[in-house]
Amino acid sequence: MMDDFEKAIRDAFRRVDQIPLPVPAPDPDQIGTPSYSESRPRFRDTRRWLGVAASIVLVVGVGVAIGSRQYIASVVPAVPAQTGEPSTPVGQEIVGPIWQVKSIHGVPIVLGDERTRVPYVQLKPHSEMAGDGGCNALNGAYELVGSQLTIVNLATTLSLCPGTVGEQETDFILALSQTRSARQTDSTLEFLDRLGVVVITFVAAPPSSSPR
Amino acid sequence: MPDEKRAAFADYVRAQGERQVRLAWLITRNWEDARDAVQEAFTSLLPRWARLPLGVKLESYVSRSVVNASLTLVKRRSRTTPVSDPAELMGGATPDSFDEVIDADLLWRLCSELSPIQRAALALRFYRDLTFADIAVILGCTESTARSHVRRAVVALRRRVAEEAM
Repeated sequence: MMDDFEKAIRDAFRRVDQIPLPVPAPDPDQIGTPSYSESRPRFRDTRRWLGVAASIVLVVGVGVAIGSRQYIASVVPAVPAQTGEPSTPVGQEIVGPIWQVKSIHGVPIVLGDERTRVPYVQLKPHSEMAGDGGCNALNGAYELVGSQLTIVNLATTLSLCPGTVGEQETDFILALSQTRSARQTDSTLEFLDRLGVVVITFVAAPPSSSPR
Repeated sequence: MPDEKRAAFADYVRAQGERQVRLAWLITRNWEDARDAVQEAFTSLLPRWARLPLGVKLESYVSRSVVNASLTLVKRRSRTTPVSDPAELMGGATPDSFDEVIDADLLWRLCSELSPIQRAALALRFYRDLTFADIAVILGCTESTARSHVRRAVVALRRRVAEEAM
């Protein structure tokens, strides 16, 4: 049984129901899988298409040049980017720790004001992934078979995230959706795309870091 | 996700969103943070929505996410959040019934002195009318710990109200 004091607490708390919400109620249309996490990512602007076209021309050109010298007889495998440190294939040890983003496509991350966070991912047991893009929380699933890693069903909150930090977050999510494999060096974890190019470099978060 | 599942999720967000924001606000005392917490909770729910087992206590599941996200936001921001006064937000219209028993505004203000976990426990107990067993599930603790959070919070409030009255 509640005494009078506890009833007063209950009544005080229930006054919150009489307050008109000063913020918009959550909109289901604002909670969802972003288009850039679909299996075939859509590119944001013409610059990206030009970048892709330039990459194709470069790859074809190199292939033709190598083929003409008869160094190889068939397809040229993609050469992963070199990091300067010996790398090893990943295993289940990458599951569990918090991996903070160090760079995306080789560009060191930038931090904004106090409302933005260091982007990170955490691969949890049972193929669930959590993380943060800097402004928005991320959730999704992953498949890790050997060093082959894919991230699917990405969903984010859609808080406004203007400026460089917002663009960085978009790049981060796009890079996650492009990830096809992972590898570790002594100090870093790298996600690579299907061509074996490093798209995201992570460092293990300090033990004191607390994910949401 | 199939369209019908997605539609069911949207219906759930519309039905429960506002209620969950109010719960989050009782913990964070900041409307923007409350909305962020609920957005995060729903976002984490979405990938699991299609495969939630039958009979799952959905409200407990979502409330747990909301409470955890709220506590994380409070901890992360570590800022002194100005206490929003419901009377002020309602334009000064304070129901008379509260004045008869105890100064509800004072009680409300003193709640901000409690720890976030105690505020969460009080909100679940007195705003949501949950049992200690349900509170324990949401806070991820034992039932006795949940009971202890509520009891200590009530004791602390009683003491502070008495101090203010002197």
